[in-house]
Amino acid sequence: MLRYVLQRLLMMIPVLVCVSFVVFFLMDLAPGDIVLQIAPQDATPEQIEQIREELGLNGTVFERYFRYLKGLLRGDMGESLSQKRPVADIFFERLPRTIELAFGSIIVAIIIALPLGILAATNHRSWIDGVSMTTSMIGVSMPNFWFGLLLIMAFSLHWKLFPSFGADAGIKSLILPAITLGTEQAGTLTRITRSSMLEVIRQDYLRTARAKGVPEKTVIRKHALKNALIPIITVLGSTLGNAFGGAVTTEAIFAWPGVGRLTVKAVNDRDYTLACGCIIMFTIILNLTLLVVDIAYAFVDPRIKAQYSK
Amino acid sequence: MDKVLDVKNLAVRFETEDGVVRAVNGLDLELGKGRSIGLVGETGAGKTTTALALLRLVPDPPGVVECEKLELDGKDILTMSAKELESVRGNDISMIFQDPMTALNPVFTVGEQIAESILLHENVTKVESMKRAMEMLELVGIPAERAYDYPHEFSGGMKQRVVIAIALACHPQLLIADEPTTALDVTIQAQVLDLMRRLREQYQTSLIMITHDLGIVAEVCDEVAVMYAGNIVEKGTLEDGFNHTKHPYTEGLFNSLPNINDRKAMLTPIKGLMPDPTHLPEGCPFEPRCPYAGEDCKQPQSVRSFNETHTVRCSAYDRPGFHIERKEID
Repeated sequence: MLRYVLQRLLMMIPVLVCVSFVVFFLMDLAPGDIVLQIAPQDATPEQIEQIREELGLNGTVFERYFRYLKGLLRGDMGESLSQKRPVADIFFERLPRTIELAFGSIIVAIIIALPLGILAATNHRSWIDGVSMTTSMIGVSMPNFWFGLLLIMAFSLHWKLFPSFGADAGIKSLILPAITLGTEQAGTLTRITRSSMLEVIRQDYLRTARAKGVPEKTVIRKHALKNALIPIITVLGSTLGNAFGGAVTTEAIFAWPGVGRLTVKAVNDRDYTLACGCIIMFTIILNLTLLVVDIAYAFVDPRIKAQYSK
Repeated sequence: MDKVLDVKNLAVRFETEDGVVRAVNGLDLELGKGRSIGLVGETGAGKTTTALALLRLVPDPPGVVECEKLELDGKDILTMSAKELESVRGNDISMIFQDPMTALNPVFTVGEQIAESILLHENVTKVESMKRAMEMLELVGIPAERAYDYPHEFSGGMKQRVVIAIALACHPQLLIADEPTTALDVTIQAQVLDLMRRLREQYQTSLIMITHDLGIVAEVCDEVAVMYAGNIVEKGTLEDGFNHTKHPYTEGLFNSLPNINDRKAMLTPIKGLMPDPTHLPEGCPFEPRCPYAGEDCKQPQSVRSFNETHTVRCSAYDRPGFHIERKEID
């Protein structure tokens, strides 16, 4: 198991190099120049060149990339061009908020999706199945910003239960953003729960369990669900990984100080180092999440555990 | 004779989109305490469906079970609530399923799976139930410490022993074994059959052995019932069924067995196929394939008794002097 984890961690290095390469060059191709934004209106070409050098933006794109990569491999993501502070500091300042939102939304998604998906599967092709599938479809297709605004109108403006923006009111301010994001995630999760349960429900070992006299509820919750968990965990993991990358629309509507908005702003400002740093951090976080998911498989399915220990 | 099982006029049909599949049609079955009966017939004859109906485990929908009488040890299974059924299943009546490869839940240890049954039906703690599960494993010839292993760590024969251990964990009165040896190779078959016989003697369990192997019936059972197209066509003691065969279908089954003394002989199969269960004929379902068929076979068939135990569902015996070609053995 430990060897497997180390292997996976080492595999992240080439991934990170590739990602940094692509991001760095894409940022370079984007029109606009932060130097011109920073420099005073009446700056002479010499002054502009001087600023460029101070910011480390001189030389060809390859020179700049290798300079950046050298820093990166030492764990130094450089300094933000617009904020003049280390990228790592800025990122980790906002990361806790994003983690809060990610876990909050995933909890909402699980609370909605698991019961709905299981109900749909156990009542396959009945009206319950239809209602739950329609609900999940609505969840997926409803635009996030619209649903978020509806929630604000209802719970913040009308009933004044929760704040409409910011993250200063603790759990109270988390609720609306988490519901907004969680509803969207619940859609996919419901579908995957349903199809995975449908697969398992046909299995012979459930009949064995029933023949033992196991009550139907236990058959579904214990015998079937544990077998259906692998695909559910997979989707859960990638959803969580994506949520760590910041939910830009949700963060924007609720003025949530997470990393999603930070990244978008960095790209718009042509703050190359900050944007690259954020995206590389997302890559690392997503990879770690997926690794945790793969390890979680082993705890769900003894057959996979046996493979890891080989 | 104390009856463990008393079934009258059992009918199971599956209402599917492609029509109504009549899997079991008016089956009668009785079984005495400690007795064993072999349910024989080709694939699709309704053997497994009959067994599932006894446990009330026929999937509904699409399955519909109708029955005049379905009693287990005097208790009416037909009118039981879901909760009562749960206390009967695995406790009074339990089943060994056909395919040991898929009958065990892959994500629980075999010990947990045996213990679950004990925990459900008997007033024991979790620790005690696990101890009992380990005893059951020893009983079926698997070392107790393997209780903590998962099904994928066992071979097919061992898995079948685990399935048997689950079925016998609460010492049921009636055990239904649905082709328990079909998925196993011959040496393991013999071991499993031997094991079942020993355990049955030990606990005085009645047995319904579902199989298509007449050899297994001769080895394990006291009685034999031959099924065809959802009904029992011939039923009797081993002596009745094997030595005084009456029904043309049973005769066909015996004729299609390979002869060990004449290895060059061609097999004589029963020609044709079983009728489509969505369109069963009104008369004898075997009539299209029967070498003795006559006009009288197109009428609904009635059961006739030859002695106290031997019953046959064939109207050809109304013809004067009718007999099948197979010789009676005394």
